[in-house]
This record gives sequence, structure tokens and C-alpha cells, in this order.
Amino acid sequence: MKVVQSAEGTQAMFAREDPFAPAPPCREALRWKIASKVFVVGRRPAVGSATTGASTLGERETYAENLAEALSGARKKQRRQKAAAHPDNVVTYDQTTGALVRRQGGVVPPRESWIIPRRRVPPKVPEPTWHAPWKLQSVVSGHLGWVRCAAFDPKNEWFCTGSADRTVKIWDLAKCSAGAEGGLKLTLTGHINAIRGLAVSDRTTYMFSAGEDKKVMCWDLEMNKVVRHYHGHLSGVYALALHPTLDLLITGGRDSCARVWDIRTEKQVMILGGHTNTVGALASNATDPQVITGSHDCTVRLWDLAKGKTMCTLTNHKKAIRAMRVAPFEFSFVTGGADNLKKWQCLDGLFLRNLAGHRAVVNALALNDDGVLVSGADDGSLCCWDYRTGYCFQRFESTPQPGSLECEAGVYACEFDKSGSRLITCEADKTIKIWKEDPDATPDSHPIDMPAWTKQCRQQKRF
Amino acid sequence: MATARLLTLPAPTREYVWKEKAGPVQQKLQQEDVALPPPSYGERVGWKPKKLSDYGDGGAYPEVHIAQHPLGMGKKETTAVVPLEVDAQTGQVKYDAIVKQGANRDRKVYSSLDDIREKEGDSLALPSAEKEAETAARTQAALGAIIEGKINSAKPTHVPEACARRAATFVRYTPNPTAPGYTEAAKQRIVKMVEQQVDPMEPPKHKHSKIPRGPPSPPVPVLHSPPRKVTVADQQSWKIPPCVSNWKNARGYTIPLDKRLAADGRGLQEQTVNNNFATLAEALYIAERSARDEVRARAQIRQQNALQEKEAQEARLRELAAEARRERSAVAERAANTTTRRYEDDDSAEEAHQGRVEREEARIQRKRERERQMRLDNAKGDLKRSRLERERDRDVSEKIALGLLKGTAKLEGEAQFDKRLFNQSAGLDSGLGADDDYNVYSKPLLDREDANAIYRPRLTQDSKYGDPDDQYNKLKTTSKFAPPDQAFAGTEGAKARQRDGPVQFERNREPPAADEQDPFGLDQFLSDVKNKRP
Repeated sequence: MKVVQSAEGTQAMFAREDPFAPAPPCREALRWKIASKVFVVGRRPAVGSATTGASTLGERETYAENLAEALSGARKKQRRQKAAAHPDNVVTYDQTTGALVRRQGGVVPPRESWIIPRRRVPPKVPEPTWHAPWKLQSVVSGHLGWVRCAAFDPKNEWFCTGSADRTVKIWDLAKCSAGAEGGLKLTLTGHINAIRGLAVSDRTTYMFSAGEDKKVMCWDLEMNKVVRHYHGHLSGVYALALHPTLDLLITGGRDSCARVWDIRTEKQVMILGGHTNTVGALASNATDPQVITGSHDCTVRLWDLAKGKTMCTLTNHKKAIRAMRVAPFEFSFVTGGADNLKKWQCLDGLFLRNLAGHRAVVNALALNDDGVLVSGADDGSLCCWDYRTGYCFQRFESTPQPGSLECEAGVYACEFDKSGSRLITCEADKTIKIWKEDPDATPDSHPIDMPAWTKQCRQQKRF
Repeated sequence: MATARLLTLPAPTREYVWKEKAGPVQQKLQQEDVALPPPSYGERVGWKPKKLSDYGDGGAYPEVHIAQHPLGMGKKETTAVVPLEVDAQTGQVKYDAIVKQGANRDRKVYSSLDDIREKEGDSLALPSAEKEAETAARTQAALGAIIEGKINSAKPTHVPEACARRAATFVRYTPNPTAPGYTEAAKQRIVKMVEQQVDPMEPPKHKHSKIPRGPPSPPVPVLHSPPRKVTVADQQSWKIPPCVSNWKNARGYTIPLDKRLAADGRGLQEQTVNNNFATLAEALYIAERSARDEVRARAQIRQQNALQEKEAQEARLRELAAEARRERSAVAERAANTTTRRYEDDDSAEEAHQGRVEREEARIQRKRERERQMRLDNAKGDLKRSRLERERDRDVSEKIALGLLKGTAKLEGEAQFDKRLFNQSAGLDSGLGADDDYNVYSKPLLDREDANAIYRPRLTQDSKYGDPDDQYNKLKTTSKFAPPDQAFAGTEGAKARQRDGPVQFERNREPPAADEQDPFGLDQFLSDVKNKRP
């Protein structure tokens, strides 16, 4: 690099590597050359052979020198220096604007028409927000099977859990989180197989449950009875969501489609087909895309509900999508599977961020208003992420309750309560665990590991 | 500048097919060779226009009865080939064109390398309330129509649109005056168009055939890296060993029992029992034995004590008995004269004998009664009811004679009538029931309500069932079965005496001793006081 004189005589100029310089011999070609030389040097050919270019000792020596030079990269450097020093290739740039001013021995095209090879700029490292780590507060046992799903009352007084023991249980949040007696308020029976989806309406007194028995039911919580059945799924129902503004219920299941039901008339309004495998996760928005489905065929689809058509299909995931969560504070959503968690812009499905590091089959995602994202996996591992940056600030394992097998450590659902201060996880050891933020933790006691985070951000990503 | 760019750019390596926006007809016309002109008018029988050039500048042949598309007019362009398009900005091939064709025009498709790079979002703001309301209204309208259609079609009175009779329409028809058959009289006609009635039960005239499903929408570009090569560690961690049955071998045949036992290594293991088990058992045995010894010794001592006490008591009793016998013999000797004198009379002897016989008879009768009662109580079925219960239903005339029952004589007012006669809007029949019902009386003759309540615990002020301490004391102090020979309180000697004859009284002849008459010297004191008074 060489500083040259100023073009206008007022500004200091400096030379950069010229984008238009003739390319040095590429590495492949060089290697080929070296390989041919190695053949000559290494294996002694027959004397007088026509195919060998180097039969004399002197030639061999020069080749050996060449080879050593090539291997050390010295020749490449030399050549580059020579090219830069050539008057035709000296280019001057404006220091303040960076605009090309003059190129000796050539016509300078206007800036718009340049084709400049893109240089890899190290990505900016976003500063993660500090969150207190989470710790176990109490364990609630009462279910007789895997606990598969949970939902909170809009008033935050109780929560309901659905289990593989075919029951929905309603628990008092305060009593359960304090570990007091009598936390179980009610047990609802009616399903004949594991319950996989629950939702509590915040506009009516209804609760909705869906199960592997193809049933979708509407419970009236004033009478504690089933008041409506939504009949039509051809196989088990794995996900359920309520439309935030309309009286619509959306369910998705093993028949690889999502069905939209009118809550009042029990009629199936629409069938959102297109997935080629089980629909494992669902979310619903008030504006388009009103329905987002994640499927075991590794795609996410955003749906236009008025037309009943796919707006966009996202194919970035490599493994089945088992969990999905829409952010309450910004218009984005996060999906999770066995490979990575991925963050998307809700409006058009623009890919925003890849949250790598949870190396397990992620079954559940929960997100609160503070921007804490929790992912729970099949092997009982939980990760807490800063949602904005994707920094994983805590990793922990949930311990299975005494008497259960090692393989029964698994998180099937996690849910933040309405205030976001309590996290409940539904687990394979038949318990519900309630977690809270560590009140003693400070940014000093649990600092953000900036070096590791920087390294993670800087490294080349393949996903 | 363009020349400069051309200079700098390398020569294109690929050729692109550009979609032809206009002029397909001209192109085709150019391609086709205009060899044979169409036959002239009147000689076109059996001739068909096949090429575009057959139509010349345009215009169809009305005498040729096939579908004709002069200059390609009205012909649908159908092609399965999507032309390759290139992005104007980047110069890259638009791979999403295949996804976005046809009805999927407004689909968002991500296909570039930039779409898999991490980035900050550009429109992350939450949607406004107006937007939400607008979307809700739009969706409601769209879905409402669907729901309404579904509800209507489910109604039993629903008639499909195709079957519904439409109202008749009228058409004013003006015939061509030059046409043959034209009459002046009918310059204009009004034609009534009525739908032909269709038999709803008519079988379909054509065979229904299932239309195969249309092709799915084209696949979206896949934006993830190819799957990683499975490492050995991964493979090993996913290896699930096959289950080995104890009962069936790999071919599915049942393993014989001896082989199974030999295979499970049951005999190979030497079973060792921890020494501590033996120690514990021994310690327990010793402890138990010593405890038993102690208990036995204690029991023996207690027994000896009891024996000694008993002997002492018996000795004392024997002494007392001897004394009593001595006293009694003295009394008997004294009274012997009077009793012998009394029984000398024959009449009285006769009376005594008669009385004894009567008493004996009564005793025998009572015994019989008791036995009968016992037998009845032991009997099964209805007889097993208690006597009280059995006698409840029996003749009550005795009780009435005794005045125990008052009957209905004293009832006044409504009570003397059958209650079923009152408040019957449906007449007497409804109240009295059927003829064969055995409900002659509205209530039982004898009101035994109070008898049932006798043994019920009464409510007291303290608690529902009375004071437990009171009841306990009562039970403890009062004996239900007083022994016949119990002594009266305050009599001499706590123990009752055995009697061998009727109770006899004797006058106390001896005057009481001075100290017995005034044991505390009260009379003496009083007289002294009296005498001393002046």
C-alpha cells in the first residue's frame, strides 16, 4: 500500500488495493503447479525421460526453491507488491468520502457502475440485556402421566395443565407457587387420550382443550362442563390457538393441516392445508399473518386467513418445528426445533436471527414481556435467552422427581404467567415445576460473558 | 460509460430465454411456411384451417364447422414452461418465479443468500389498533360468508340454488323483416322464458367421475444448508439396542425353560448374605429371650404375692365365719322355743304348704314362658322380631280397656276426619287410591312417636348429646344389675350377710351405755350450762 500525491493537492491520499488489478494466479493453479514439481522432486524419474522437465541437478534445485517459495507464500506477496507498484494500478481515493478520484492509466467509471468485491465485515456484536437467572421455586405433582401443555387464566389466579393421563387439572397459582396444600382446584375428565393443547379465552368463560384423541372441546368454566365439540380432525390434535380478536379457534394436528373453527357454531370455517407432515406448533395474530403454523416437515407457513392461502413459506429450519411463540412486545416470532431456534419478523417472515446452542430436541418455548425466552427440551435441559440479541444467559437442567427414571427428564411445555414473573414447566416426570427469578442475583454476581458472546457473534455461521 | 462497463465486465457465460411479452402471432407466422393458400370459396368441403397462415389477415370460415382462432384470437395460451427471469438489480436468476406464477403472484418468497443472513428487522412495530380492527372486519366478512353458507346448507328447508325455480323472464323479440316466414302481423313478440321442470328423482344422465386432485403449489426454495454428515458419535448415540426376549429366540420360537434358566445366569451367581443379618437375628433372639425371662419372673412374683394375700384373706374370712357361726348358734338356741310353738298349728301348716305349691306353679310357668321366649327369639324369619314389636300389631282391646289408649274419641276439628279427603282438587278417587290398595287409614291408630324417641340422646344446652362427663359418672356409679344381697348404705358392716331364714327383728333390751348415749358429752355440757346459770 502506498501513499501517493494528492489529486487536488489539498487532501492526503492513500492507496488501496485496486479492485481492477489483474488477479494473481489463483491458489488452485498454483497448487497444480506445485504438485507437478513435487512429482519431479520427490520421485526420481528415469534418466532421459521425455516427460520430465527437470532432469538436471540445477533445474531440480530451482524447482525446489520455487516450491519452497510457493509454499511460504512469499512469491504471492511479491507478485502482489509488484502489481500494486505498477503505475497503471495505483488508484487514489478521497480520504473523507472514500470516493475514487483517479486511476492512473485507466478511465475512471462513475461510482454507480463499479463492481467492487464485497469484503467480509466482522458483524457488529449486539449488547445483550442483563436478566436475572431463574431458579426452581416449587414442584407440583398430581398428574398421573406426562404433563403436556399448560395455559394461564387471564386474571392470573389459576392455570390449567393437560396431561397424558387424560385429565385437565386446574391449579391455584398462588398456592402452587408457595408450595401450599390444596393447590389443585379441579380435575376435568372427558378426553380419552393425552391432551396436547390448552387455551383459556380472555373474552369468554371458556377453556379449550385438544387431544391426541382427535377431540377438540370447549369447556364452560362456570359449569365445568363440555359445552362444544369441534369434530373433524382426522388424527391427533397437537396444537391449538385462539384468535385474539375474532371468535375463531385454530387447531393443527397429525393430519398435517390446520383447521379454523367458528367457536359459536362449532363449524369448521376453513382448512389450511399445504403442510406435508404433522402441524406441531401454531400461533395466531390479530393482523396478517393471522395464523402461523410450524410443521414437522420443517417449514413454517404464514397464512392469509381471509383468503385461506399461504402468504409465505419459510424453509430455513432443518428439523421439525415443535414450538413457536409470538413476541408480546414486538411484531416478531420465534420458532424452535431440534436444530436451532430462529427468530422471524412477523409481518413478512423475514429471517432475523438464529439462536444456536440448545443442542437438544426443543419442545417448548416461552417468552415474557421482559424479553426472556425460555426453551425447554426433550432431555430436560432448559435455556434462557435474551430475546433481542439471542444471547443465552442461562442453561440448566430440571431434575426429575425422586423415583422417576433418568429418561423421564423432559420438558413438554413451558409457560410464563401473565405477569411474567413465574415460569411453569410441564415435564415428563409427571410434575409441574414453578421457577422464579433469583432475587439475589445482580449483574455483578451473574455477569454477561462478553468474550464468549463476541466470539460466538464473530464466527462464521452455517445454518 | 456503458462501454467502460462492457470493457470491465467479463463475457456472459450463460444465455437467458426472455419471456416474449408481445407478438407471438407474428413470430409464429414467421416460423410457418406459407406454402399452400386456402382453397377458394365453394371448394372448402372437407378442408380444415390448421395453420395461422390459413386465415390470412384474419376472419374465420363460417362454412367450416370447427373451432377457429384466426390470428390466435380467443385461444388460450397454456404452457407449463416458466421463462427464466433475471433480477434487474443484482443480475441474478429469479428462482422464485416458479413459485410466484399464477395465483401465487402475491406470495412472498425468499430465495437469495441475503435472506439467510442475520439482520435487524425493519418493521417490528406492533400493529396499530386501527389495523387490527380493519383486519378483523375484513376477515369477519370473508369467514362470515363461509359460515353462513355452511349453516344454510345444513338447514332441512334449504333448497340448492340449482334446483330452485327461478321466476319467469320475458324477452321482447323483434324478428328480422327479411327473414323467411316473416309476417306483418307479428312485428314484435314477447317471449316468456320458463325453466323446464326437472324431475328431482331422475337418475343422473352422466357418470360421475372423480376429478384427480390438482398439482400442489410448487416447492419453495430451501434455505437451509444441506444436512450434516452423521458422525460416528451421532450414530452411536442413536443406536437403540434391539430388545432381547427371554421367552422367544431370534427366530420366534419359544425357548425351553431349562435353557432359559441356564441362560439367565441364575446358577452362576453365588448368593452371599451379609453377616450382619445373622448378627441382627441373633441379637433379636437374645433380646427376646431375656425379655421373656423377665416377664416370667415378674409374673411369678406377682402370683406368689396374690396367693399370699388370698390365703391371708381366706384365713380372716374363716375366722369371721367361725365367729358368726358361734353367734348364730347362740341366737338360734334362744329362738328355738318360739318357732316350734308357732308351727304346731295344723291350719297354718296347711296354708304354708298351699302357698309353697302356688309359688312353685308360678315359677314353673315363668320358666316355661322364658323358654318359649327364647325359642321364639332363636326362631328365624318374622318370628324373630322382638316381643315388643310383635305385640304392637296385636289386639289392643286390652290396652283400651285399661284406658291406656284414648282412640279417636277425644279428637276434635279436622283431626277426626280422614286427611285424604281434604285439599283434593281431583275428587275423592284420586286421594283414596286404587281399590286393592291397603290404605284404609290415613295414619296408624297408635302414635308411637314418643316410644321411638325414648332412647334417643337428648339435646342439652352444652352439646348435642349431653355432657359426656356426666354420663360417664352416671354409668360408673349406678349399677344396672344390683346384687340381690347388696347391703344398704349406712348399715353395720360393708358386706351383706348371708341369710338362711326370713328377716327377723329383735328389741334392743339393754339400755345404751352412758358413753354411747352421749359420746361427745353434749348433754352434760348443756345441763352444766343450764345449772350454772343464775
